[in-house]
Amino acid sequence: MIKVTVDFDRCDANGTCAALMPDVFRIGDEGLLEQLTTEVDPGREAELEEVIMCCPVGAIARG
Amino acid sequence: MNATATFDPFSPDAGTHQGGALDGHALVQGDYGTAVLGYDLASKVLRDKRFQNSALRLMEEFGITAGPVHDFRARSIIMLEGDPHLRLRVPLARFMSPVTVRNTRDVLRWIVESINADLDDSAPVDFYRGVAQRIPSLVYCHLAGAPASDAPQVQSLSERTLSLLTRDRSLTPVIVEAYDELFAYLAGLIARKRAEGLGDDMLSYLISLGDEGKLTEQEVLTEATSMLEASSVNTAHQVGLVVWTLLRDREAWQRIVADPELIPAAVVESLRLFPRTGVVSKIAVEDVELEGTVIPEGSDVHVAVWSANRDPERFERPEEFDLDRERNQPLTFSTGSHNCLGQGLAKAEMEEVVRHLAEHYPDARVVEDATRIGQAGGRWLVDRLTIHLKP
Repeated sequence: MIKVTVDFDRCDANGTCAALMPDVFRIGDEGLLEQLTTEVDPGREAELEEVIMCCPVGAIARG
Repeated sequence: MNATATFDPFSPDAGTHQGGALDGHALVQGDYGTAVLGYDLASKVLRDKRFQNSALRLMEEFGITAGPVHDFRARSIIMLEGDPHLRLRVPLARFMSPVTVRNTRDVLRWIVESINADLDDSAPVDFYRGVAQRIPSLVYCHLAGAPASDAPQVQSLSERTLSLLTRDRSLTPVIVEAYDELFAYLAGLIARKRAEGLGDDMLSYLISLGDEGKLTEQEVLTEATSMLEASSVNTAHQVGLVVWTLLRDREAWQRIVADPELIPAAVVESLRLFPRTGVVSKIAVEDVELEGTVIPEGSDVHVAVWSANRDPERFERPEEFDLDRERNQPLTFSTGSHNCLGQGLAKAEMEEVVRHLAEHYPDARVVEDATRIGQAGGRWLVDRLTIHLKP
């Protein structure tokens, strides 16, 4: 499994990650980001890379 | 109307407010509508989908109520919510995040160096017009895959289209003409790219999404228009504001010169104290209760970013420039789903300008009596920033 981390001190909750991987990230009712799981299947590496690349504040990382 | 309504976010003396709540009120009301002054409440409003960007209404108030310019604004990324919003946002996000920007650092450095190479450093220079104003449009051209020779036109188009935000109604014909020119410019650029073959730039990517049926042709043009209008003018002013802030705090500047690792923190702290966009204006799309006050549907809500950025409840000694501030997340690029897409790129531009100055001109000084920087209509702006690079 690939570990996924979110730096919540950086996170700005714009929701790009939630749009790309809705089963991993979600914008809650208060407008803040919720991380639904800390691991993703290795087969989803490309999806995760896209999420990492698209985060406007660079808050998402693997490992 | 509230008893504390002596505050107006657009008045020339708005900056005399120290920041944060006024007489205990994080929310105040006046003829302009409602103003949000505190950091927490500002973050909440900026993240709340019940408040929509006011740009379309502002355009309508300017008499632009139909036609291509109005239609562009109505379907643009800043006006949408939910899935339609993310559908437009995600394709652009991949070109501007810090991760992507890391790969374009060398280009940024080259752009900054080539601009600085033109400067005569033996006498004071107009740093705003000579440097700050020229960089963002060159970066846009690189990103969009346009020739660098288009940069002056891009800069001018961004400045003229976004002049809507000055709230000066006499500019209506200028704004409409600028958008018409912008649409024609992009149509030409897209046609040229198609003829010459697509590259790995942002515009080529949008065109290919259109070809694959993932975006409509109209969406491709809408995306490209949004990127161009936002490309230059705000970043240009913010570059000037950051350099002005850092060069005037000699203690901080000496630390930056000695340790360039501090540059990113220095840029963020400057962005906190002097945000180009000092006010983000929204409209309530339904009745919304905030702090016990009902904001009626259709009314204006102005988030006073610069006040939130100086809220003592959120930032210790907020008026001080502090290079070591922890958890420093000013609202200068807004927050939530409509935060500034280009913020990673804009910050990198500012960092490279500061790095260049710190490396090559550690003794640079602002020439105060030939510098005019201030706050007007809710925005910080640079009229003139004169710097003596080698005093």
